Amino acid sequence: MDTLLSSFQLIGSFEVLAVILLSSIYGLVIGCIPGLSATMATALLVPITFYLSPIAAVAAIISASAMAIFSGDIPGTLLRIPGTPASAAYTHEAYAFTRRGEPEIALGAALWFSAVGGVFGTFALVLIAPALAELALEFSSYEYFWLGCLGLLCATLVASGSQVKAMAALMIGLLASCIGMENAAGTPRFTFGSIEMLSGVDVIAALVGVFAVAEVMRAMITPEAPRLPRRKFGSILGGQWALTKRYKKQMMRGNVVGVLIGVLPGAGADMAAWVSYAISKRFSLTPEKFGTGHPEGLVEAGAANNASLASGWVPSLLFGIPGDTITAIAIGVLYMKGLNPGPTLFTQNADSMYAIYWIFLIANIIMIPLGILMIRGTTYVLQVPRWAIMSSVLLCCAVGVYAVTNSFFSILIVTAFGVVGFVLDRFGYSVAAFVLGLVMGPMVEQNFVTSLIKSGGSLVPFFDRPAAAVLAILTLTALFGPMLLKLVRLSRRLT
Amino acid sequence: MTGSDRIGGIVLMALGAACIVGASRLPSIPGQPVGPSVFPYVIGAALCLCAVLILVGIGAGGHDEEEAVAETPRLHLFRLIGPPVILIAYYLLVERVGFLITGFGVILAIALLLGGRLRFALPLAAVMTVAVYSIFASLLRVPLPEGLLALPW
Repeated sequence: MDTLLSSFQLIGSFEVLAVILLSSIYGLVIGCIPGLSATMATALLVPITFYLSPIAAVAAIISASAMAIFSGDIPGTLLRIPGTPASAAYTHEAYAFTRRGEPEIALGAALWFSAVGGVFGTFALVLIAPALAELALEFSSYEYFWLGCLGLLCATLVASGSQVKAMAALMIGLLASCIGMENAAGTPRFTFGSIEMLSGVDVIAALVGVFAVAEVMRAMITPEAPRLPRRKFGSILGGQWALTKRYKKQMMRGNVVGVLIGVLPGAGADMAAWVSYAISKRFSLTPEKFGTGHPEGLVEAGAANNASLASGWVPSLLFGIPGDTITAIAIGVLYMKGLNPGPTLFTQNADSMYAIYWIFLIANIIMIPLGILMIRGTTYVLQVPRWAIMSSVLLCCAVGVYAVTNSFFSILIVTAFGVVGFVLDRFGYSVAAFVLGLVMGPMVEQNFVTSLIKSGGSLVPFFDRPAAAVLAILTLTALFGPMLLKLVRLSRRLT
Repeated sequence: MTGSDRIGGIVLMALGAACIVGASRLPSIPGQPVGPSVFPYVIGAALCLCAVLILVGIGAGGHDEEEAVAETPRLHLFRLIGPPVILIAYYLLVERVGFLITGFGVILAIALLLGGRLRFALPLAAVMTVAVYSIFASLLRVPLPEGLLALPW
């Protein structure tokens, strides 16, 4: 009860409430602009969170990312250009409503089911995280090592496109994380004699590069989005209750799939939307209606991408393993603010944890009124030309990372990682896997080396603790399973 | 397999090899079963393996080819290297010339590269630079260099 009260005190301050409101508006605007993703909104927010209290910093990230994922549906519906990658799965479906002259239904469904999915995801976080925390308290460096490996492998397994390329991207990320002398031996690695490189690659600077600078580069070679005709909208939430009742099952399935995908490391809102939309079509009684302006898939996928957001925080808060690219950035902020991820966060900092739950709930509830305002104001936001947005974004990158790191050298890091991020994405190498490698590299190596020092070089303890053995089997299955499956299929085809 | 995959495979192979060579030069720590070189060795080997798989065509594909022919290649490349070049110029100049002038330059350059008109880009650059300076330097106390030009606040 005391923790509940003190958690209210934490979020009841003017600072936190103002931050939630402002970052919500920020998230809505960024998400609605094609080319600016929810991850980028988070990355650009980090320099500001540097100057906030810990809870306000987390609140800023949570509300901005939740709003941006919903808001990405707006240009998807009206222009057929997804505002964020998480909306891409059902853009053609939502646009079919606009062509039919009923954009209100699609926008309303996007808003309503985003909020419902977000609330469901929050409850999943509240239920799953503390239960897992009990378990995680028993974990030693052996379990953490396997968990880290499992997380890294997941990112390559769920990557869209070539898995080998995702693996290569992951290795490049791990290699970048090796730079510097922050290893168990304290030996400078790959620093090329540079003093600035001794402290390693600053993760925040690298992520700003990968998600923001790369996006500015992409804007240089892609055509600008067409102008949005002015339009008056009818009732936005009218009819949503009827849809909720009719598609109860689909909504719940979307929620659950979203939560499950969110928990997987490296798989975030965009993956949740694609999978849910596909599941919805597969099990629909009327699959032929999909793509013609049918709300079923919108309900399911719209709920799934927002549900995945909250559950993405489960592995991040518990183990420091990012559930998606947004939480990869959030983990950096958590460390910066002294809320180090780990099971002890739930025992020693319980009031902060409760505060985080409340923030999720508040953000998903105020999403509805703010979202309606945003839908009605979209025409004005999309009037701002792209050159104005992208040029401001680039300057904010340069100033923002300097504010966080206090070193001009980090501007070069931002530049280098911007180029790397652009090239990886351009040629089909998973950026999410790259980021995961970069963020988790030190954790995996640290636990590996610590474990070996503890065991005196023996590999046996990696397998003889029960929890470690289970995790080891899972990891090895994830690594060799797909290969074996391919071999079996190949041999069957030959015989 | 496309040309870009072939280049990608070769680059990854070179990176993996360089990583292994770099790892072999790292010192071992007496009394520690695994030194700082083990992790880079594993990464280097995995990179080489991925490179081989991509080069033999198992892991190839998975990216949009048709996007690449939207524009004439030279203009394409010129605009594409714009953002990194501008950031490097910012890094080189900001301490000497100061934030207000270099920031103004960054916004103006990107705006013009993206097809903004000079008569709109100039006022935007001025307003944005002053706004960013006010937020970061005056409000958040980030020590942005003043250089040749400073604001009164």
